[in-house]
Amino acid sequence: MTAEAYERLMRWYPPQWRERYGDEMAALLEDSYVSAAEVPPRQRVSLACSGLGERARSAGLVGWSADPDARVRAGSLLVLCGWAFSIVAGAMFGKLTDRWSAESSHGSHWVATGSFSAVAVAGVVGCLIVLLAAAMVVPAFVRLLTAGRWHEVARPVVVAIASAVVALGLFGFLVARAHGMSAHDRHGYSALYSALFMLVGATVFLAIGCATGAAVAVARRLDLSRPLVLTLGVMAVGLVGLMALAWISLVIWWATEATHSIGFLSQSIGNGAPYSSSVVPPTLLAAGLLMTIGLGLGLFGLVRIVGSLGDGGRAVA
Amino acid sequence: MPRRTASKGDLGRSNEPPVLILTSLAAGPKHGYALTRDIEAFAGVTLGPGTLYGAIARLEERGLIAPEPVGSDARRRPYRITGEGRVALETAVREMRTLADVGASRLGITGRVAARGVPA
Repeated sequence: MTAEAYERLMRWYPPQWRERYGDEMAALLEDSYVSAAEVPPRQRVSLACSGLGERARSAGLVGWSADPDARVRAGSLLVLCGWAFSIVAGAMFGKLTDRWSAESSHGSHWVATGSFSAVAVAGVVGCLIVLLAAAMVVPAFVRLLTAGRWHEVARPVVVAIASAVVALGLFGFLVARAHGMSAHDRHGYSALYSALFMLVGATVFLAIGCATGAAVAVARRLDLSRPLVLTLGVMAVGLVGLMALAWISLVIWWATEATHSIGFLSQSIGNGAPYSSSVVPPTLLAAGLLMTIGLGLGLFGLVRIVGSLGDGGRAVA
Repeated sequence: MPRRTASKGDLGRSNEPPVLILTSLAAGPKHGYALTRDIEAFAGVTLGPGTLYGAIARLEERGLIAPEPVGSDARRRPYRITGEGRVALETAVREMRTLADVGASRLGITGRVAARGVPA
């Protein structure tokens, strides 16, 4: 058995870490076990956990040893990932409530109308913040490209662009097809249209995921000034506030509708697959769960940002 | 109860890897495998490779240990305790001794208890 077999056990660790400690750790494994095949599963799992922990640490996501700017940047990117979940949840909520906002909102309880508006406002303002943040890092991205570092981010960016093109193409096809259909068929009574709608939805969500992945890959490599990192951190804090507002508003809208307008929820899109409920329809449940995951990520990022701003730039191992 | 704040020299509890590694290195420089064997001998604790090198990386980052110049076998690099590491270990040992003394006195235990495999 060769040293490479031991080194394969360390693939979970970040490259810089393997560069520094990889050989020594492989030597320790060689001294401890006759062959790499004899390393027990418990030790393999432990190595994987430690390696992933080191990756998170080197990205500034855990621990306080990374410099504060790296932690603020990591926290901000975590908030961006949380926002992507919220966008997906918001899109599901938007589709679920398109008939509600067109037909039922005038007769609804004022609390439902107000909370629905709050979700919409939080979504629009949040998207504007994300676009503004993207515009602010464009000069740094141009510097990265002119420095000949395109190859470092080429793969995720190309994948994101390709997935966006596919999603837009399918969306255009869906819209064109919908124009020739009755409202009755568009609202779930055409199996073909429903299947196409699900496919487009999945493609759009995949494109959002790829775009977020590309944004994270690029942002981690950008050379940003400290004031800009702090400004982006403050904007991320604002974004978490909007995510919290959207989550609370969604819960209030849900509770109000479940109390005052059970009929709408029982006939909402997705009800019946896989189950029916007039209080907890599956689409709304999925949207709520995704928004909760997004808010959780956002709050974790918020803790990283605020903790890093609060320690006055001190890095503690 | 007053909350302890993390500082550069804060090593944690007595059975935590940083304390065990510094205690082992206080007797002289050692490489990874020698460290695990020594710690097993005096504390009865087996540190896995991930745990050991995670702690080594953190201690080196904090300047509490330093790698020795590489000899004939670059893959078995020994580490030594630094002056700052010695101070941090002394502080940790004093805290543990205070705690042990209070515990022993409240339990009515007299005399010293030998560590595993190490004369008192």
